[in-house]
Amino acid sequence: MTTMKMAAALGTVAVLGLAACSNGGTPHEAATEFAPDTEAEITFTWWGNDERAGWFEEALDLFNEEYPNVEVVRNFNPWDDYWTARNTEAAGQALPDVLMMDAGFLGEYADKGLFLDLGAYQGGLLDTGGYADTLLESGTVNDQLVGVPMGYNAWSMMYNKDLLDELGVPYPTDDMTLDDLEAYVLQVNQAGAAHDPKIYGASDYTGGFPGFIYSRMQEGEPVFTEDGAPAFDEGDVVDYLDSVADLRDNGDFYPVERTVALDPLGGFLGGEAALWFNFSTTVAQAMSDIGTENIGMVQAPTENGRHVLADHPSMLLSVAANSDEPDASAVLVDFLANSPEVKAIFGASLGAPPTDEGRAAVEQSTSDSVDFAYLDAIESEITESYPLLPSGYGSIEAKWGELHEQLLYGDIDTEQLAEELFSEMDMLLG
Amino acid sequence: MAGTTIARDPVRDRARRRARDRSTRAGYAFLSPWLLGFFGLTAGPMIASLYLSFTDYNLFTAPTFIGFENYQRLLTDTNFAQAAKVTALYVVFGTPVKLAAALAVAMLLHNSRRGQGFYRSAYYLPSLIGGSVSIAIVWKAMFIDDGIVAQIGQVFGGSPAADGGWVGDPGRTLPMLILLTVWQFGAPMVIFLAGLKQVPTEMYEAAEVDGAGPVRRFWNITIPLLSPVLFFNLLLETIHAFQIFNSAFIISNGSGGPAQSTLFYTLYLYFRGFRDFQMGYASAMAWVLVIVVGLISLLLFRSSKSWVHYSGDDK
Repeated sequence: MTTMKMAAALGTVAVLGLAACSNGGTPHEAATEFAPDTEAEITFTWWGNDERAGWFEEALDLFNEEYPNVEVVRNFNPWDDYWTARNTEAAGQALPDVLMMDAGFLGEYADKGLFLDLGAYQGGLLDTGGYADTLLESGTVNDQLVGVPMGYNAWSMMYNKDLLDELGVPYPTDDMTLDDLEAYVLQVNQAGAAHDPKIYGASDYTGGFPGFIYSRMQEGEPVFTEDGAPAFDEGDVVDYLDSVADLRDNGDFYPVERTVALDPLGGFLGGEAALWFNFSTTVAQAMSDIGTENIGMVQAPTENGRHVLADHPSMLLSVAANSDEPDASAVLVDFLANSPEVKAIFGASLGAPPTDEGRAAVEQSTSDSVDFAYLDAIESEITESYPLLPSGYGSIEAKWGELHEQLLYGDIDTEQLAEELFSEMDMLLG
Repeated sequence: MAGTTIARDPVRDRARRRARDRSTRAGYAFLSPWLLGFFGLTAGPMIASLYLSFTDYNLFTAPTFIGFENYQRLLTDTNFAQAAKVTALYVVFGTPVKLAAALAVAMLLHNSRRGQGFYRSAYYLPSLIGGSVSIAIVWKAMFIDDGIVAQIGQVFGGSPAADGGWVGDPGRTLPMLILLTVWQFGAPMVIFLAGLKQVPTEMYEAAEVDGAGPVRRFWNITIPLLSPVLFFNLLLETIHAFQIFNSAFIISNGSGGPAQSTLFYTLYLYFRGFRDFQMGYASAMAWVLVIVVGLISLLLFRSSKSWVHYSGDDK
């Protein structure tokens, strides 16, 4: 019956799609004042679990203390359903007034003219004074501010202090080159060989697209062009993957067979590898999965040991172009983005609060303080905005992971990987 | 002809027709919930998906007609070839083994005098829960490198499982999933058991008197008389096998991995439709599946004429 169900789902989507019709939005003069007793009704949607929903309820109660006559009709879905529902609404020009967006979808929606340019409210109803320019730029598409980040993080290298202490290996430093990293991995492998289970330096760290983006950024090269095509060629991908060919071919990385078996944990989260490369917010997950608070964080190594880093927005707030209440919506965005009380409710669960005032309001857990300390330490190195990701990016990232797994199993070589990645991107980005 | 026309009573005729119309209407009225469901939820969407399979459709923008392009793309898509291969292997190996297991256990149960009800329920149980998410998770835990399967294997002198166990070895994930489906032999087993009860015992007794051994009795009495049931089970299980999704999705964490070794057809279809938003392409894949399953069913029906014997049949 799977075929039937699939067909039914496709058909339902088709029917909903046909119901879509476009209507031109009337230009709206952005207000600069919003009286606290103004009456309005707006809809607001986010993704997440019940815990997050509870926090949003608290935050919106605070909002209503300030603006008692603005009724906020709430709705939330889990991540997957969220996009199915939003895509359908987008097709019917019926998006909620205010909605939570992800960097991977922002460009796609903005390109279709689904969002209001919040730039018109900047300095008026929307205060973005506390935001770094590089961060605001990650919410800017075609010169319009379409998303205001609620939190941010940055690419990092995490290390398990418990393991390294046990093996007597010194912690990695913030000035390591790629050669240092390779030597370090071998050093951990050697120290951990007699351990049961065997401890490794790291899993193959060319296995994810964000790592490739980081590497491109160091070279000052773009990843995607303005119109969403790849700004790199197959040779670039091959070079990147071959940079760790020795470690890979000699079996010096954490074995892929075991990564697959432990999935979704893998080497680092399973407590059997010392290093992990990911966005800084994920330190909370690392601490809870490994069951230790002794996780350190430094910049991921680069060719020359110096770094170019970028603000990576973790959640953005957008206002729909079809909103009947743009002013009230902008006020809600401003409130959620800036209110220290709201930041105190969410902590760093939406990423580190972008403003100093917001970060100060958070009662820091251990993971928050590791994350915030790292973000403070790299502040002067954040000179870039995270690249705007084209529509279809999510699938490309997933494809990179799948192909890399085939590479590790020896089914394909790096050239075949690059070739298949490009034929896939051809379809997804074309 | 002319005589019958004259003999007809127009008034009575009309009354009869009216009564017939009334009962037809009532019949449709009772059928209507099902008909609504069929046209609204099955036939309509299927026709829509047939149309979408000739379009480029990403959910966002209106579908654009591109003729047979989606179907042409299937021919050069290496992932599609891999998905077709994995699914074919699963059907070709999984179904016969499962049916053989079902028949073997059904025959053992049929001959047992005591506790038949208990054993029947016990063996049937896996097919009720086997398709569930929790069993797939347990199955995965059993086959990783320090799982129960590796431990038992070592007791019997097997070499210690490599890193990751069966789960991490692309050569062994498909056998692992085939074992999972074979273990769910309960449903065909119950049907076989019912079929075995229909075989008259006099036939066995007569054959035994004539000196036929157990093997001979099996091939010359049991199999021919059971062939309609065998055919039914074969058809059902084959179609069922083409639709494997849940267990593969759970065991590979939705990736079709490791190294595409569990990239079943329906899983790949799901990726294209709901991850990559290529609904046109996914629809084309769905229709290819419908056609292939249809053709295989047709082949089975055709072949059944030569090996399925219905009692009372002269052939």
